[in-house]
Amino acid sequence: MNREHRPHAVAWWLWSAGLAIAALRTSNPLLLLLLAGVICVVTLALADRTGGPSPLGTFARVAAIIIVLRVVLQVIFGQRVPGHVLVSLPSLPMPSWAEGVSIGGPVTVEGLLSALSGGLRLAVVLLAFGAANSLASPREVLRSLPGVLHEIAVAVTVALCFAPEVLASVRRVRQARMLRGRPTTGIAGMRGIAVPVLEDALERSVQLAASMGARGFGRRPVVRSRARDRGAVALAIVGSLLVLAGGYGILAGSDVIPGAAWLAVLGVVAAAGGVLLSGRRAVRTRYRPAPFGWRSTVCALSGWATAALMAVAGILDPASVTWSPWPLSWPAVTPLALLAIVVGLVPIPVALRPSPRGSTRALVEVGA
Amino acid sequence: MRRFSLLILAAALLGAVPGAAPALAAGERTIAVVVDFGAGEGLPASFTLCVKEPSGATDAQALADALTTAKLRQSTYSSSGLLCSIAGYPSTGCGVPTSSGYSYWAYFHGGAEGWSYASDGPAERTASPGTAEGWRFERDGRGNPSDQVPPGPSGPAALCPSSTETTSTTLPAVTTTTEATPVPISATASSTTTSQPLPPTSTTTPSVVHEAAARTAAAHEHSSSPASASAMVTVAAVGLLAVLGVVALVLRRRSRA
Repeated sequence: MNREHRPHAVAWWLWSAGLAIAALRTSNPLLLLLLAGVICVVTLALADRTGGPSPLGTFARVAAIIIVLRVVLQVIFGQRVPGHVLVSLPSLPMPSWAEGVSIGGPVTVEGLLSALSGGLRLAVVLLAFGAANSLASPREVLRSLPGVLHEIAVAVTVALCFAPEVLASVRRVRQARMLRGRPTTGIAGMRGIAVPVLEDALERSVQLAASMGARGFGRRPVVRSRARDRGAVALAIVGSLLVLAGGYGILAGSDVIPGAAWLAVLGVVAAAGGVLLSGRRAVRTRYRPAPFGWRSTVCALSGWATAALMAVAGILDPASVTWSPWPLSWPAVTPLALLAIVVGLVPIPVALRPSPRGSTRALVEVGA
Repeated sequence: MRRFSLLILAAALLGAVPGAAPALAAGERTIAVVVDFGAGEGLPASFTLCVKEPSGATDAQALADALTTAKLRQSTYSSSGLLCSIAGYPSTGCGVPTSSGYSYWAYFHGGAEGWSYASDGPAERTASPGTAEGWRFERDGRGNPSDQVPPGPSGPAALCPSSTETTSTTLPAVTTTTEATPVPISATASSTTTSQPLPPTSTTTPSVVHEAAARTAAAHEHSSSPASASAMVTVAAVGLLAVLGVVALVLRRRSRA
């Protein structure tokens, strides 16, 4: 109903990417917790809850598992790090050629804290991805990709549809077997389920491809110049790869990839060139095109402003965004880093819809 | 840890009193700690210290005690356990890649036959009697055993001559510091022993803590006024975190209802 007031799907993915980048730029647990809080609050307040349970919950569970796993691995296999010893586990002596591996040994407060904050960072990145999934379905994003990448978009759409289709199919087949009194567990049950499920999923994917073809996806365009088209696609793909490499270099910090920033700029220019060169190659129509209005722009900018402010805070004073448990100290926060967090909350006032309770009341009144 | 170092100091000063010659306690061992910052402007001075450690203490503990004795900042580690800085140097970065290698703190075990590049971390090794532990800052190292070793002797006998005898009486420590910086002695230590001149053995040991090191340590001390402001910001951040948590819980409950 209020669809036109919602920010564009791409805007939500950009916002989430910005927050994930901000999380990667810091190792301060207080800042990471704040980022997680911002992600949860914005998602819970703004996600469209018409399509069943939000995927954020699933991602939050996986994030929690990651943190626990990281701590457990640190305790059992982690490097023995100096600090205050909590408990000393029995340790397995290793031969001299495997000195780098340690099993057991003293568990220090510092080691546990560093494992916790490392796990927290990964958890926040996952949460940001979950928020993007809850706020806008990945299919909506693929819908608005430039035409030059449409073959890739079709492949990704089919791939994204496959997993949920398989899950639904498993449920259907299991129910049918249960009604017939056939086993649903064990090896016999597995074999009985797997064959029809694979058949079913394959059939549905082919069906999806056929229906997409009928709607203009993947259709050969009116050929103007084959070489030009090929060049455009190559340019766009090479550009995207360059952006990927450059982005990795920038995020990984230090000089993993020399000239990462220039690589990223070159990639953006190449990708833009590819898109421009191809023009409107794919012959297809858009069903209910979503406008990228000012709300979308503000949302996307808010996420990237968070990332940029965090990066600037890190460049001006590396100690303000990094934290190490040596020596044990309370993580300190600087005003700039706090500002970066608050900026991430901007989508709430911009994109908040009228409360669902109010709208239902209005509907009831109209109905009466 | 601090109390332990004070004990060492007290033991050293007690040992300086003629007649009182306490031997190493049962299981105690002397570890030579060599830290080489390299040459350069404004760098802390390299030093060698001999510390007494109880059995079971790690080499990281020996380094920590040596830094406490020298009144220098404690070493910092990265989350992987890699040693990042000693005495606050370098102030940023941890194993930073350079054009042809890494700038990092290389770690060596010293023996009578020379320095050997360590294949383990200082926290993974229990200090064994009469060893030397060396750290050398490599500005452009390879990160493998071809890196330069600390200069000077590597044998614990040469570094801590007195430790070879079982009745070690002296502990060369900050006490060899240039006279400008007074020896820090706790109230209890100073009450038992007045500033006794050290026996000549300590002057022959290569333990040298220069004034410069103490000065750098003092320069790293922060003044208190910006600290309170940053504490306010941190408190504000914790408050914001609490607000976000409450709002998230309320929204979750509302979405379930």
